[in-house]
Amino acid sequence: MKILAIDTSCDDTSVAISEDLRILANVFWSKIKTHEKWGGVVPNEAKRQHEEFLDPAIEESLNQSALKLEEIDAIAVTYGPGLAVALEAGVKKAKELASNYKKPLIPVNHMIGHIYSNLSRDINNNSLSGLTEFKFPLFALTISGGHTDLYLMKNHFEFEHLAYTLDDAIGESFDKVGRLLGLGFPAGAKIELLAQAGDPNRYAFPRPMSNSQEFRWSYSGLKTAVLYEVKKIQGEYHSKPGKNVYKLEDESSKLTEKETVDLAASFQQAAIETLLNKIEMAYKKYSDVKTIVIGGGVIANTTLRDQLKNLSDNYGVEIYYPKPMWLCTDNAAMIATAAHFYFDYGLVEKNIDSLQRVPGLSI
Amino acid sequence: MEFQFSNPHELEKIIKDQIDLSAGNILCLEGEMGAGKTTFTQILGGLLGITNQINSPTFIIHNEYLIPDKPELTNQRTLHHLDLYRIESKSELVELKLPEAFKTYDIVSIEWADKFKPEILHTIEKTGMNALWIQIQTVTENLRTINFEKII
Repeated sequence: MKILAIDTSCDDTSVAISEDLRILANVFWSKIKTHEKWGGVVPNEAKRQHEEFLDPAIEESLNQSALKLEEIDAIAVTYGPGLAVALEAGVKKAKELASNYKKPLIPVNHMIGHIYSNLSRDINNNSLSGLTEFKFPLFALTISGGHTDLYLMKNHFEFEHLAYTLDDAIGESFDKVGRLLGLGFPAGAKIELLAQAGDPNRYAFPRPMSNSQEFRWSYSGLKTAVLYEVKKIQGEYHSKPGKNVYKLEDESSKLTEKETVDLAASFQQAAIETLLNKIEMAYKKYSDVKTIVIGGGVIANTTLRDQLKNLSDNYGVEIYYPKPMWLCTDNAAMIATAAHFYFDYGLVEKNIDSLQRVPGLSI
Repeated sequence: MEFQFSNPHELEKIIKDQIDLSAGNILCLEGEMGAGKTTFTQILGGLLGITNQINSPTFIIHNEYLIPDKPELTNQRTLHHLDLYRIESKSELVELKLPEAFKTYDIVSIEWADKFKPEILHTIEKTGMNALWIQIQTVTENLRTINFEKII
């Protein structure tokens, strides 16, 4: 079965084509690419609109897989969660394709896509995570800029939401701390690089919720703790009622290199331990679960990978995540893979016209 | 009007007293990282009867939550939770399609509204909705001030 999948959940426009679980093409389109393609004339340049990127991305994905739209068996699209206007563009295009070419339309939850990215295969039919099928029950962990969630999956599409964040997502905390350290956006990879040279024990940052028996994460307080530490270092830690003494002109101005790497290392270790705490709780509570599959950009962090692997080894849990980075971050290939299972389970849109984007969609 | 608070419970009482949530309202939030802008919106959601977990919308930029109003209200109201932290330019702001994205009877919370103050004020003007500029300031780790300024 050949599926063309569209993902416009947030920043990137992505289109993929799969045949069963094999990814034939996975295209990302950006303003820069449009620029190249159109010889410097960006249509409606002021607007970074998915609408404008979708047609060239679809064309490119068909070219790469040497297929015509007529040969596609179904259209899949991310309908949430994500930014409303961005989702809308993808949903609109998918509805148009499905009705013009009379193909089934499969609306996919972006987060379920991240989980099923573990079953995506390369052109030679090799699993890109090393996992060939889900062995239930399993844990599914999604860690990204917008999500920090742990699910217990008892079967395909049977999710029990075990743990979630009360405020910020783990990836967001990396990005915001990155800004405090003057690293720009996105900052995850830069923090990891700095942390390698730093002392993770120099600053005693909190591990929020770690003393709680609740399956809840919290990352807002950790971010704020780093902010206060930075200000303390910069000598601006004074209490003056009525004045915004915490306002910094240049957040990175007075940090030495040693302070920066130690802050990065101490923060990263706190963020990882905070995450692992609840995962270990889950391992203890559901000792019959022997597999964890992970999706989302934060798994790119190798320190996290190593520590999660150690923890999982201790509990006899096998750990899987997509090896290529493009399959961890937002992409349409995972939507195509998930759509394959949606179709098998009859989860196909009955009334194409009625499909709406759902920005706050949860699993 | 300026108030002080040192915990979410105190903030909840202030919000309850200062904001009319029965009508459409745009709440522009200004305050540095860690000041409590997302906490403000979480409390707001609680007061509106929303039971879903309200998270930081920094990544998603614009989130929506249905407000479970009394059945006699005919229009389904929505809490829009916006965050301009990652918005870099005016053209990106335009893409959010404000104010068409919300109805005049909705509640709209905009974090980091100060990044695009003139544009946001202009958007508010177009809607004619009630609107407040809300500044949250960190005094100490455990003490904040919150200031409400009526825009319309």
